[in-house]
Amino acid sequence: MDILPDAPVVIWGLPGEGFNVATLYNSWLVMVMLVVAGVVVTRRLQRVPGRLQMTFELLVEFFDDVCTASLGEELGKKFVPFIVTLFLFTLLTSIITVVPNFLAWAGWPGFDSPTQDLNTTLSLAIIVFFIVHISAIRANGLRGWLWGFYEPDFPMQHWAGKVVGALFLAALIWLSYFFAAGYVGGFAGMDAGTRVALGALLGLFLANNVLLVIYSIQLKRVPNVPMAPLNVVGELGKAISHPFRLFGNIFGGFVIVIVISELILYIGLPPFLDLFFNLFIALVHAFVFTMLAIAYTAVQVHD
Amino acid sequence: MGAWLENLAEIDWEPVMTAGRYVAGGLAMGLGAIGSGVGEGHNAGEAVDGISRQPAVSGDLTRTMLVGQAVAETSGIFALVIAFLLMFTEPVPCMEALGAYLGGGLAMGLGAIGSGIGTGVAGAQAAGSISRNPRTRGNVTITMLLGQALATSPAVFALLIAVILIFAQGFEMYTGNDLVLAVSALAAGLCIGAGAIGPGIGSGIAAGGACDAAGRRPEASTSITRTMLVGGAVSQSTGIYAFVIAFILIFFI
Repeated sequence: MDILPDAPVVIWGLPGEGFNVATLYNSWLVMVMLVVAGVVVTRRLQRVPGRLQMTFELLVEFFDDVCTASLGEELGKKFVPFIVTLFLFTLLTSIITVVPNFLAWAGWPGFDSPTQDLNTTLSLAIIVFFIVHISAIRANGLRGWLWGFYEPDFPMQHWAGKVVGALFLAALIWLSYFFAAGYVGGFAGMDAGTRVALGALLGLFLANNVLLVIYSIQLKRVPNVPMAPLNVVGELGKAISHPFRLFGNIFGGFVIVIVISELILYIGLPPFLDLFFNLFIALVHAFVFTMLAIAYTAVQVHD
Repeated sequence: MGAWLENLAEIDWEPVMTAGRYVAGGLAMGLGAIGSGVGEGHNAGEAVDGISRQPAVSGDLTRTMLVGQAVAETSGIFALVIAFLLMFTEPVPCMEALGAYLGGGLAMGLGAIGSGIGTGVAGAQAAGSISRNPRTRGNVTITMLLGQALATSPAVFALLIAVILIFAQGFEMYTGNDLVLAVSALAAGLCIGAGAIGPGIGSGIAAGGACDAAGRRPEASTSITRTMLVGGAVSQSTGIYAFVIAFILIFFI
């Protein structure tokens, strides 16, 4: 049984441990297919669409509806191309595994799903993560984005708000002093890399605190400081679960098809297993991956 | 106390490890079958109930039920994969690998329970919702799929920890006979496994509520979905804490 991926191959003398060539070639293949499909479908657009144009129009229209409904008219329209590409890419990379390796004679490594390699789903999720947060900053400004991590906040006017705000402020000043003093005190004992890394973290923390005090005065609201670590962990949790969900399902389906086919000596059942796991489950999870990208953006943008 | 600890290195771990692999595989699949079974049964029951109320949409209801059940099966399938990996991979036999394998089996077995039940609850509510208002089927199905995907995340975390524990020897971890390391690997599996039960069920309940709401007020489905994702993510934060602790137990002990 060949469950684990092949050893990485170094190509063109590029640095690093090498590449999983099956993942690499199949991703390129899907990209080429998408570009060709894009050119072919849009080359002769007609007012009364043919069958091909109709299919793609339905697809784009569906995601157009979803995006504008959850992101608003203006931002939604901007998101449609990215979202449709993300969906088509995850879908095609997931279902490409049903193609038998008819190019084995030419040295093709096999039509393995790139999404059964964690590197692919992780890269896609990192792209989504940055798009989510950058569009949140662009939509709400730095203040709105940063303040989103300190919610639910409460008004400063009430006396309890003033007391709690003063307590939080004191705690923040003390923490800033504590970390800064620790950094300065331990500076001599650190090597260069640790110095830079810890210094950057400390700088971000101090900048965050200064901004927080400014924004708090501007908004006349008290930030909910104890909630911030929980919100950050929640965001990271989303970013972790997003790639692993797609990877786990595609890789799981692949392993099950191989293992069960092996156990029944490839008689009768394998095509149906392939249909269920590599077409149906892959379709559902490509869709879920894309919808979650939209939902995560919507949550951040509407904060 | 000290005598048997010193003799650990002289034990022949080969048969113990083989036995341990099979126990771990059995634990993974046996415990992992609970959640999906309960959840899918709940889903089917609600769909049958819905057909009794609206016999005209029985085709729609059956389709939605099958889609919901297929997704609810995910955590059981994860358990099956892990069980196969546990039984058919052969690590260097030692006490730490034994702990890691038993931990991996417990992680996936326990971790699949909550998500299986949760996804089933979401599918059941979606079936009930469609039987009350068949025109909202598209909307409810999308909400259901999103909610079920959310409810599967704890099982995905458990899968991740189990895979790390199984392939840890590839990173030159768990190759010796240290009792502390062996037990910490086992504890990491228990931590994420038990910690995934509650969040799985909880986010499934959130998803079920959202499916119900999307059927009642389809025009508000955008904000319903948003609230479901946020609420589900909050209910999963305890699962993420368990995930972090499991990570610490594996990499920092």
